[in-house]
Amino acid sequence: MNRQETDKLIDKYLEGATSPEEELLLAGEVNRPDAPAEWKVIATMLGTLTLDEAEYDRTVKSEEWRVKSTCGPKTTLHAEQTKPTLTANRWKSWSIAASIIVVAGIGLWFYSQQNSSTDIAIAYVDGQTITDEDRVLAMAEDAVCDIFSNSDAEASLYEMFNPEE
Amino acid sequence: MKRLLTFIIAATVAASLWAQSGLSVDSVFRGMIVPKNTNEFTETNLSGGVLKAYKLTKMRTISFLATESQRNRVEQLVEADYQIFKQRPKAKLTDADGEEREDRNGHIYYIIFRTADRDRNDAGVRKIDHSYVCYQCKPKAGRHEITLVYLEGPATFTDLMKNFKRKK
Repeated sequence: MNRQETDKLIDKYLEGATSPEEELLLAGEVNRPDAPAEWKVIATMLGTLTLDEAEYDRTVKSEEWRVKSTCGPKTTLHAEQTKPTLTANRWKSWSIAASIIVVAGIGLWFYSQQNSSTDIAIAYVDGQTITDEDRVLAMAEDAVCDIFSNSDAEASLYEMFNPEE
Repeated sequence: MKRLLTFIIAATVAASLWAQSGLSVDSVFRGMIVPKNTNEFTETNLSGGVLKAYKLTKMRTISFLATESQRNRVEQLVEADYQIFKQRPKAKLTDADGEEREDRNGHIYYIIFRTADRDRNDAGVRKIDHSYVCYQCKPKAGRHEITLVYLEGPATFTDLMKNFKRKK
């Protein structure tokens, strides 16, 4: 409030037309340290109770302002209050993710066990990759046949299963 | 999480490819004796329905040209796996067992032998697959042409002979 507004409010007070809220406001103004000497009379008239109430309001407002300026915006206070909840949520998310990984891992392991005969046909020849199944099979078959064709298997098996003769 | 899932899938596929793991010759298949990027290195890897006619579930072959020392190293590893086969009690011989070997000039020319059985889960039913290692070393252009094969499946030794032996 500026000085003119305060003077108007003093006049209104002297006429007995002020509300309790306006009297509280006026008490705050006339009780300022830099208030003019003529306002001190009004302060006396307003009485100790009103002045104490005004002082109390001023102190509360001052404290609120100090807390705001020290702790930052409301959102920071809110964030601090909700920190434990956020941490709990994060743990929950990680637990779910870990569970999914474990279950997926076990599932894949069983899948690989059950499907150990999953179709694969791949060959590497001089650094080149061949994926044509027939071609890969023909190459593999040639390699295996080349070795097996050395053998005189029938005689060998007969000797193995009939060692006495 | 996406990265982790990719890793799990890759690891599972890799594990299925390295079916011969546990054998000494595994290092040869991995290219640790003769690097895979060398010339004339050929590798085939097959599994699944394509091998059904052979009563096999997996077939892996590699062939490459090796120096004297590389040949000796590969031969040592094959011999190590073969000795494990040899130590099997004779009483437990089955029709899946079999052995073919020919040595020339103090070195293995070719060898076919059975290795440890593998468990397979076929739609909830436990099945046993036999596994075999085949090796051949032929001289070629002053070096050694090596062929190494790993076979896995219900096929017996007799089945393999029927399916892969060709008259020369």
